[in-house]
Amino acid sequence: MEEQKPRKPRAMIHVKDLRKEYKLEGGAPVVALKRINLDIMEGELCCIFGTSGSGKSTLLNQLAGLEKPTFGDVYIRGVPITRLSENQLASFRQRHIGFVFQSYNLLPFMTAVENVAMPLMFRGVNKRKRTRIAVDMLRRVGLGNRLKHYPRQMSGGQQQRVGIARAFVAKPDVVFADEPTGNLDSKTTIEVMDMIKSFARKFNQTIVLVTHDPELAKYADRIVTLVDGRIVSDTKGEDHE
Amino acid sequence: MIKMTLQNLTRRKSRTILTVLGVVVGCCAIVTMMSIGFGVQNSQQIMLEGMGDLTLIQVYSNGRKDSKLDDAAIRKFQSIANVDVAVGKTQLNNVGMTVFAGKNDRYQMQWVQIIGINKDAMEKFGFQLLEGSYPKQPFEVLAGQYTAYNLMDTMRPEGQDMISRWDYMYTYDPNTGMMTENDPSALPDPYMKLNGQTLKLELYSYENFDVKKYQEIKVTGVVKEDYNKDYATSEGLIFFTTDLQALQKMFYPSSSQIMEYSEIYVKARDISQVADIENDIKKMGYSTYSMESVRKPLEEEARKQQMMLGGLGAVSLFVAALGICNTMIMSISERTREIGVMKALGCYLGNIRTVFLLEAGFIGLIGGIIGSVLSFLISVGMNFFTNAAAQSIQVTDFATFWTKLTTAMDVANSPMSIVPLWLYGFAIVFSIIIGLGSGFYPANKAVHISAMEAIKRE
Repeated sequence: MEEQKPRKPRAMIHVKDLRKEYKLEGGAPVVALKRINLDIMEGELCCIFGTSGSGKSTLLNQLAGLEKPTFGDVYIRGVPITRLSENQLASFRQRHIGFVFQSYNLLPFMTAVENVAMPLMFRGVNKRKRTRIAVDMLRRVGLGNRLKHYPRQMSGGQQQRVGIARAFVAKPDVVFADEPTGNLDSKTTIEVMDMIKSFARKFNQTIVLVTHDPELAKYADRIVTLVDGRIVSDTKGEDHE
Repeated sequence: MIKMTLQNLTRRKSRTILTVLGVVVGCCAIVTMMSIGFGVQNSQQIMLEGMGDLTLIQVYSNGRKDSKLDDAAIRKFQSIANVDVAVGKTQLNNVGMTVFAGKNDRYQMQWVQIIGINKDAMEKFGFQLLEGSYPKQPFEVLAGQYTAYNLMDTMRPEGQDMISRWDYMYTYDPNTGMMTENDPSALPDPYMKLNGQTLKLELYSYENFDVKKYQEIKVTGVVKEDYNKDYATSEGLIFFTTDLQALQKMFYPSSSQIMEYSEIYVKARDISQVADIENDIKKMGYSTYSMESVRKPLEEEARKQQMMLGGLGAVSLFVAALGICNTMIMSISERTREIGVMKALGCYLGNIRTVFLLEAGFIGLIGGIIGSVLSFLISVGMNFFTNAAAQSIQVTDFATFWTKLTTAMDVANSPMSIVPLWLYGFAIVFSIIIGLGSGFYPANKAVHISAMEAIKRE
C-alpha cells in the first residue's frame, strides 16, 4: 500500500481522500468534509482558516484522531491514526500530539504544575521527574511564580500559558491549537502566539492552528482556507520567509 | 490516582457526605438486623441447652413383640451410623426404698428417683460430673445435682426438717401468677453433701411392706441436672444396671422383665445427625422422642427471621447503591469536559474507569467503616437497654460490664444483638462491593465520553 507512506519526504500529517458525514436524526446526512487531501510538513505552522460552519473544526477532529472519518485516512508520521483503537490512540497522543484549547481546559482541582505534568503522568513518568520537567516548562512560559496556583487564581492569559506549557511538555511532534486566543485580548494574543511559535521553532514541531481570525492567520507559514468542507485556497502566510 | 479520587470527592462535599450517609444507613441496617438475628439464634440455643442434651433420642417399645428393649436392641442401635452410644435404662418394679445417711441414720430420704445404666455406657452417656468420679465397683452410684435436698433431718422438729429447694430457687408472685427464677447462689448447702458418702438402702416390696431388705451403696460423684437424660440427674441415684437387677431379684427372683430395659437412650455424635438416626430407629419398629422435634421448627423459625431481617437490611443497602450510582452519574456529567480533555491528552480508557471506580469504591469504604462503628454503638445500646443484669452494674469495672453485656447468663438476659467480628468485616467488604458495583455503570459511561468534548465550545 503506497498510501501508507507519505508522498513527500518529511510530511508530518498526510490526509487522503478524507470525507466526514453526520447523520442527523430522521434527515439526510450532512456532509461536513468533502474529499480533503492535504500534507502538512514537519516544522510547519499551518493555519486552517474558515468561518464557522466551514468544517474546520471537523477537520481538526479528524486530524487529531478525536473522531473517526466516514471515509479516507489520516496519517501522522506514517501511522494511520484513523485505524487505531481507542487505547492505541491514547498511547499515540501521549507521544506525538499536544493540544492548546480555546477555553484552556485546565483541570480546576489541579495546580499549574499538576496540570502541566498531566500528559507525562499518563505516560507513566514518575512524579519527581515529571514535576521537575513541568516546573521547568512553567518557568519558560514566565509563570515560575505561579507554580502552586489553581486555574481559578490566574488570569485568562496566564491560564492559556499554562495550557501551552502543557501542550509542549511532552515534546510532541504535532500541536493542535484550536482558537487558542479566542478568549484573550489583543495584547495577550500576541504574547501567546509568539510563545507558541517560538516553542515550535525551537524543537522543529508542527503546529496546526485552527481559527476564523485573519489576524491570527498571519502568524502561520501556510494558510489553508476551508469553505463548505472543501479546501478553496492554500497559500503561504505573510510571515513566511 | 488516589489523590485525584480524594480531590474529586471533596470537591462536592455535601453531595459526597449525603451519598456516604446513604451507605452508612444501609450498612447499619444490615449489620443491626443480622445481629438481632444472631441474638435470637443465641437465646434459642441457650434455651434448648437448658432443656438438656440435644443429641439424645429416647426409644420406647410400642408394645409389640418385635420392639423389645433388650441387649439385642442396644446392639442394633449401636450399629447405626453416627450413633455415639446406646444406653439401656432400667427401673425398679414394685420395689420401693428409704435411704438412710449420716451417723445413727440421722438423715432420711423417703423418696428418690432410681435408675440403672449399663456399666460400659455410663461415661459415654455424657453425664456432666459436678463432683467426684464415675463409679467403678458394684453398688457405687452417682447422685443427682439436688438429690441431697431430699434428705430429712430427724433431729429437727417436723416442718423445719427439710430445705425447701423450690422456695429458694423461685419466687411466686400471687398477683400475676408468675414464677421468677432467683439467683442460684441464694440456695443454702444441703444438710449433708452426698459425694463420697456411704448410704444405707432399706428396700421393700409394694406387695408386702413388712419384708425389708438392706443394701449399702457408695456415692462416688454428683452429676449436673439434665432432664433429657433422666429426672434422676436432678433428684435421684444412678446405679449400674446389674446392681439394680440384683436389687430387683431380692424380691422377684424369677421376674421375666429383668432382662428388659424401660427405655433405651441413643446418643448421636452430632445434633445434625439426630433426625437421620431417629428415622432409622423408627423403621425398626420403635417409638422415639428427641428434642429434634422442638429444635427443628425453632431453628427454621430463626432462620426465616434472620433471612427476613437480613433482607430488610439488604433493601436499604440497595437503595444506597442507587444513591452512589446517581451521584457518580451526576459527577460524570459535570465533568464531561474534563474527561474529554484527559482523553485528548492521552489518558488510557482503563485509567478513566479506575478513577471513577475508585471514587465509588471509596464512598462504599467510608460508608462501610462509619456504618460499622455506628452499628457497634447501636448494638451495645440495644443490649444495654434490654439487659437488666448489665444495667444493675455500676459502670466502673468495664470488663465485668462488657462480659455481662455480651455473654448470656440465661434466656432473659441473653444479648439482643450479637455482632460477630466477621460481620463488621463482611459489612465493610460488602459496602465496597456495592460501591464498585454501582460505580461500574457510571464508570463505563465516563469511558465512552468522546475526546471531542474537549474541543466543544460552550
